[in-house]
Amino acid sequence: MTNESTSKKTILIIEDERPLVKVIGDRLELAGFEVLTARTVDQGLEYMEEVASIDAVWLDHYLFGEKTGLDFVARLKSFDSKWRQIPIFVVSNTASKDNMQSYIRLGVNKYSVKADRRLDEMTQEIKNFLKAPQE
Amino acid sequence: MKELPPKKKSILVIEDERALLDVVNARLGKKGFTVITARSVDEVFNATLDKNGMGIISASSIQQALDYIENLENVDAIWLDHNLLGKENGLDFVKKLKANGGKWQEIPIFVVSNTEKSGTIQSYVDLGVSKYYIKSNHKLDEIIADINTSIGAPTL
Repeated sequence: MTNESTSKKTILIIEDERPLVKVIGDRLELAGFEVLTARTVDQGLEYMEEVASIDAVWLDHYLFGEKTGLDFVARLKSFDSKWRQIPIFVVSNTASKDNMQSYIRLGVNKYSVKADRRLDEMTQEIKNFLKAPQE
Repeated sequence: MKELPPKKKSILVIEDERALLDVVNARLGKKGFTVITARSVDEVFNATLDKNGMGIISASSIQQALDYIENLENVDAIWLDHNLLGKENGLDFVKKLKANGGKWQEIPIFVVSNTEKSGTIQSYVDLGVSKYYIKSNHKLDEIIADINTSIGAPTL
């Protein structure tokens, strides 16, 4: 038996621009997700460790502090990681070719350029992704 | 930790992100507080609270929190996020609490927030909160240990 609380998926948003966090969070909540927000890579990793129920990650490249989104992805996708299967959606304006390549190579599910994409579109995409049959 | 507090302390946790709220609840519970997890006011008052006695009450909006405070005599401390569900934020809550006739004047308030704007922090300090933690600067365990030390001490 599942109740409402456990059937809601939780998205960890790692993004340091506050107004954007608010907008993204609101959209995702409207779309039926629980959200959890972090502003640094270390905070994000602590939440991965502490919160067992994170279903997907919305990740910016440049973050508060010294580490970037790449550090976060590298940790999640490392060979001994228990989070390898958690989908990561990188949403960033810093679409340098090298960065983008690195993210793709590390195995993120999607790399989107903020300016090019509407939030609604990205929210819907995550929703579709998580809804798709897992078997 | 050697000495145990004379009775279990209870903390009102006000945090809008449910996943984090759950973790904080679990962590505080591990520290020896009685834990009540609530998804709604009804749940707390009609079911869990009656059964288990006082413990940690989680609230995701200010109105909810003020309702708890009005009804619960035994809250020893408050864990407060700045950004909350609804129109009002943590500052509104502290203002209301402090304006409430002095009953809650002395209750320790620990603000735990992503917000690091110095103006916001100063406003909390001016209102007399015990401590302000920026989430990204402290591990949860650190904050919890700190709070445990503060309110675990005998109040004389």
